[in-house]
Amino acid sequence: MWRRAALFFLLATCLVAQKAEPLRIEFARGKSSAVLRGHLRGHQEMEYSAAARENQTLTLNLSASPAGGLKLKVADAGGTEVAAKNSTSQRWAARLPKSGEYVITIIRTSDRPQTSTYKLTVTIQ
Amino acid sequence: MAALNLTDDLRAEYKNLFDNCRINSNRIAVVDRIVTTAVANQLRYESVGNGLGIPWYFIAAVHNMESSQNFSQHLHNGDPLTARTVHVPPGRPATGAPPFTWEQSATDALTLEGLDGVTDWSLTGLLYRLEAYNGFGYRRRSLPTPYLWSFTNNYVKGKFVEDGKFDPDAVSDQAGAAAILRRMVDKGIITIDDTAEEEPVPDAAAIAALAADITFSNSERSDAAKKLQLALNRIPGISLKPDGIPGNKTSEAVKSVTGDFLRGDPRR
Repeated sequence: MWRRAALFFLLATCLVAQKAEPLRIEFARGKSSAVLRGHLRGHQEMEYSAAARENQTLTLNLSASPAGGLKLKVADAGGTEVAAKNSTSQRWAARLPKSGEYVITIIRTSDRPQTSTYKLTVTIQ
Repeated sequence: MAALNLTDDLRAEYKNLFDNCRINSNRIAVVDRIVTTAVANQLRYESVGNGLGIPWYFIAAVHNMESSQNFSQHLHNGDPLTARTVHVPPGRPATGAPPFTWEQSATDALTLEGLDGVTDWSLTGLLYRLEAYNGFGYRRRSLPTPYLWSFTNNYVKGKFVEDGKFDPDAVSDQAGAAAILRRMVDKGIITIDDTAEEEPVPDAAAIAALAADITFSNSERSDAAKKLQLALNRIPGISLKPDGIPGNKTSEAVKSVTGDFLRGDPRR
């Protein structure tokens, strides 16, 4: 009982705000790809950001477990969505219209109760 | 993401929300406890804020949001002072050795955000800086940020539950910074000037001086580059993400003011 009370106290005293900004993708030096992993539940969304130059091609490959239930969205710094040249729920690719920061969002659309685990490969070339 | 400029429209929005802000009746006792603790530590907040020109109640509000008023955690993000930060922003303070004092960490966190150069601590300037401290991610969803408005009539639900992860159904368990300030004002503990003060716009010489030691890069981050970006953002028409990376856009902004790109820019 006291353990539960201690845990409650610990949680109650450790509330911290999470940054309301996309996580910046860090590419290893000399690499054009990065692999990101995470999990989403409910209708959660995960945001990443990356800088790219005009006419570079951004390619996203998404795998999820259980399969499906996730979708990808890419927007420029002003919030304008970038249309993919070829897009499925697992793959998104487009030549970027301008230099700048882009926000990549993974959106969970499934109504199933379990958590979706994902692996996202981001390539900018 | 471009930085969000503090326009007249944005000032009007903040003022309207603050003027009409009511703390939820079932949360007043919690907010009062936070206010009491903040006031008890006013001198400690002032010991950091006075030297930087930042009001103690701004630091107190951030301290509650980032580390639940715990003086053994970083003001950047609530990570323990026994090591550099791990969460966003990671690796802070960049100099010195852990364990850090709370004052060292707080000074680093506030200067990292360029808040030591801010002169507009009017009500709307204050709320803008508080929202900027956490990020403008709620605006992409047209939601009022719980960082300011949680526990008030201005907020219902939607929350970043991890750095970068948004949950539309999550509800913040923390009192928002504006709720704390509203209560301080209502209790007569502080008065916040309603008059917006125009921040001085840096001239070409000031920008050139800030840019002098910075080399163009699309990947290397530095505090000096962030200070340059924050200074550039005070110039009308310039809106940079203050990420500390002196890349293409920063260099172009420098050129628009000084006539020359950053050192190392291939376009120079």
